[in-house]
Amino acid sequence: MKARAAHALAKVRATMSLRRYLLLGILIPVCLFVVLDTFTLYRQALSAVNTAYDRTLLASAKSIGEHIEALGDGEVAQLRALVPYAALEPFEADNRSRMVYRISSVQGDLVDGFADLNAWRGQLPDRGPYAALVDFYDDTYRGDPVRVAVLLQPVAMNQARVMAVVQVAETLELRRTLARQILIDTLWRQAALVSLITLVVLVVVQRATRPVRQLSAELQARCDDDLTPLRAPDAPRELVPLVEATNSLMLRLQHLLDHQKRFVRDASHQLRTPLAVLKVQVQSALRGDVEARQALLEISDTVERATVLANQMLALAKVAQLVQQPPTGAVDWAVVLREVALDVSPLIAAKELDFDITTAPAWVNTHDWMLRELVRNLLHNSIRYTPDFGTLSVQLVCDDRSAVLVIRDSGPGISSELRERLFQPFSAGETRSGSGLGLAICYEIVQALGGSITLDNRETHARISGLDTTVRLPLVQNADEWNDFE
Amino acid sequence: MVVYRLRKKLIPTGAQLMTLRGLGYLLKLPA
Repeated sequence: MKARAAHALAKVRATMSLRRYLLLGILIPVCLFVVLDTFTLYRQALSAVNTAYDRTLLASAKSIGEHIEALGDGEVAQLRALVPYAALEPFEADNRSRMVYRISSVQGDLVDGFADLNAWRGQLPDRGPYAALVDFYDDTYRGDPVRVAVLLQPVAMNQARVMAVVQVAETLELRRTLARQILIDTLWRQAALVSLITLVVLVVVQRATRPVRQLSAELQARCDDDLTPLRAPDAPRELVPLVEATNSLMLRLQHLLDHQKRFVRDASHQLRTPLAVLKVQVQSALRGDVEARQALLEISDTVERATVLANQMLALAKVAQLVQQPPTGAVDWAVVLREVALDVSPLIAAKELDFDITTAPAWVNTHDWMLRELVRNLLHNSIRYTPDFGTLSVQLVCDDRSAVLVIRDSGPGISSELRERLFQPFSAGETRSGSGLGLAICYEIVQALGGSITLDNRETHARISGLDTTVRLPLVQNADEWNDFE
Repeated sequence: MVVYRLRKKLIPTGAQLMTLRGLGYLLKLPA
């Protein structure tokens, strides 16, 4: 459930604009704080209003207490009070609220005042600010809510000693009006504050996201083939990594596009050549320039070369596709090497090469097809360029972290001018006998597997005696665990 | 020794037994 909520939140964040995200992220907490602050302010104001009005009530109770007399002796004396209602007028704030009072004995017997005001039955609380015997409470009078102040007034006169209870109640219209006014004032101030914050946030967010919009507009206005770097000298520091990453991506895309254009151009040229040759051969056969059997043999060779070229182009495309996928698992390079060597053994036999192979188990994390294609291309190359009765030696050894395949042939080696563009399609060596893609495929595979490939001439007595092809691939560190898992 | 004898027997047929060291032997038939 929690994961689902988190996923939904992440989805909302992903689809929300940065501006809206910033606005909501700032304004929602501010609004929540303002609501809480308004509530707190209102409660504090109400408490202050109540305290102030309670003091007025107490003052009126004390004023009434001064009009109480005691008649008789001792504690059985009778209370008497003559309080004109005008005595309360100084304490009435306006004509919206009414004040009533009640004077009674401690036992609750009415002495003076309004009999329908409920008699006080409570206990005197321990109130710090009021040293006198005073209490305040909420009650109702004739169905209306009232605030009541109670004063226990000791009355001593002649021999009489008695305690009077003075209650003064006030209806709440004035308090409510004042509280409502305080609430409205507070709300206005908070609304103005929220409006100001919203305005500031809007302006700041708008300005902060302007570079992003400018970059977006610049990218949208570009032509489809415009991969020049973005120029954003005024971009804020937070955007600089994004601009740099985008420019880096543009550069890689430009290289990739150039590479693809060159490949398509070269591939078209290479495919057109066997087709042109084929056309000439067919025309020659039709005219009867060569015998039918000879013509068909030549046509067969041309078709074979075109097929090899097409297959190699497909292989190169497949390598590019497999590079994007995770490897299928650990593959023993030694097994692959021996199987491919067995496949090409008829070619070795045809040239009567002096061949030898030594291998050690070497587990490599790769696709089986890629490793097979790598070895097949390397062996084909070496066999093709090794003269009849030459030597071909294949050795696979391992060190701590990598496996090393060394193929030594007795061919003519490579010239220094070829070395620079050895792994580029259709540029390495003699392409009439091969597709011109073999080393390019090998290079792509080795790069994808995190390895390296080198081709070095082997010299004997200052003369090139052959070519050493060395491929180094990283070993799987725990091949047994990998295979158990598989 | 066995390979040597086999090679001798193959001479009249024109076939050859080639050694691929580390891999095995390959019988090459006459064209």
